[in-house]
Amino acid sequence: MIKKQKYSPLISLGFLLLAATCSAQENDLWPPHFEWEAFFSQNVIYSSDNAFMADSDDALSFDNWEAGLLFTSNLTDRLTFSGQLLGRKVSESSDEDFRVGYGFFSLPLYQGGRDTLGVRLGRIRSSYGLYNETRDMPHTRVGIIMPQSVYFDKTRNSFHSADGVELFAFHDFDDNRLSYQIFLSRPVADEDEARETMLPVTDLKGKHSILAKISYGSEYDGPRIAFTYYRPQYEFDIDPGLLQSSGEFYSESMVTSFEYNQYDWTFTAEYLRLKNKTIGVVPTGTFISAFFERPSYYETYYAQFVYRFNEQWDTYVRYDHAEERRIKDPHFYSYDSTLGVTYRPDNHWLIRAEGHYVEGTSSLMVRDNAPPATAYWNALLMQVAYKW
Amino acid sequence: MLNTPTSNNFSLLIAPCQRALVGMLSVVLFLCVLSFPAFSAQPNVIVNDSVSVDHISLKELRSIFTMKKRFWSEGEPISVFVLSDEHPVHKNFCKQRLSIFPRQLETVWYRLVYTGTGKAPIQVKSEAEMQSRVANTPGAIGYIEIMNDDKKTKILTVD
Repeated sequence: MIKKQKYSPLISLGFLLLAATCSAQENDLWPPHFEWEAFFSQNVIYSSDNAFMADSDDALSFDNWEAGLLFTSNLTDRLTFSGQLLGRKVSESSDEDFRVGYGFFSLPLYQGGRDTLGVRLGRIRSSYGLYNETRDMPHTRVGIIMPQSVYFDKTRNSFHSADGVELFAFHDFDDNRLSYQIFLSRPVADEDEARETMLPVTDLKGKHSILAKISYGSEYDGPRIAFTYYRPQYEFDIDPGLLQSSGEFYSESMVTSFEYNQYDWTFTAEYLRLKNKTIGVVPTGTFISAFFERPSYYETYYAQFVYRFNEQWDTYVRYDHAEERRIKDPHFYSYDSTLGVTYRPDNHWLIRAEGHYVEGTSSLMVRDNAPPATAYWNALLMQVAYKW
Repeated sequence: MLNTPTSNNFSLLIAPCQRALVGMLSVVLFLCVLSFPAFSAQPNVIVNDSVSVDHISLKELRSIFTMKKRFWSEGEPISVFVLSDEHPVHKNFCKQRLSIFPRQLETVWYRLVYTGTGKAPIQVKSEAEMQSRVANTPGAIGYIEIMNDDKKTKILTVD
């Protein structure tokens, strides 16, 4: 039986930290200050072929939505708790998914004029790439669909957050910030996302993961660069046969990110080198071990340009390129050209439309697209979102 | 085996999308016409009279309103007050003083708040409340278009 890790025992540990912090200081901040935001987005998807995150093959599908409640509270003058409850439906063959997206305590251990050193504990959003931390809400991301070469939706839950402890530090140079993060955790294992693997996995568990990131720059003026290393490892049981009864799998990502901002435009490019490797599913040294345990390498990148016309309107164009090294089968690559427009009538509503012209099917969810998938396909998407 | 289209049915396949993309490009061109900037008065940057400086650079101002700079040079903590995202004075301040779109500033605050690495500014409802809160909070900074006589606040010039 596969169990979804929807709640983190580390959050309980964090409440003990809270109790210790509260008892050690004057409690004039009680009741704590509380902030929240909520959002809902409904997407309409049409694709000329293939199921693109909904039952969209040559049909209009309304079966793709997201809803979230985000909250943060200053429990003491230094300790904060932030959390997110998330519901989403993004796959034709998966049910609606409701989960604790993240829930963590954050405590600055040192705060000087320009320097901060802190620790976070609980289920923490991975700071993978430039945008994983702000991809939740339609209002804070670019586009209806994130660039799938770097921000995979088909294994989003496994990459989005993990249970563990993170040390963060930053130094500010006026407008620019130099920041470091190191995150040791147990990755979230998702039942549906296990179906994206080619193996008959029956019980997937996160084992351990490490994320290290360094970034420098500004989010609104001039360049911003970042480098992220992320290596989650999982263990699983499999249906026996030629295979052993269990095995392990790890994914090693190195993301190099660049962004340049001016007042009315932003250019972004991110490059990912990804290695996937399965360990121990067949007896070592057998003739099939070379096949099952051969690592796969992906070279992926995207480049994106956003132009902000005014407070209501912006447009974006993106080229998104993913392919498994040395394999020229359309199942193993995806070249996606995207053009989109965003309209924000006010601070709450957001309306987006975007068109995709795609060659290859590697960005599609395997669980929704039994082979053969169509290599050349297009998609039109529209999104209406509201936030409170 | 993948289904790769022939040239004829491939044209049929992409024709609706081509029309949609051309439509989107037309919208983009139309928006270019709409995007000429509108000019209005620059809001004044105001601080509590406990703040000893009279001038501030654009970089310092941005680092304060993006919640990076937390202390004045004498070590006094900075309290940042802002109007709501939809308030016209806030929009003018973001565009004309900070040269940042309000929604970009909101994303910066969102990242700080929901990653637990910082705090958002304190939001007030009106310019009158802004002046009152800045006047009564040592180390406070805010912005206002119409300044009433008040000995507890002063205007900072932005270099």
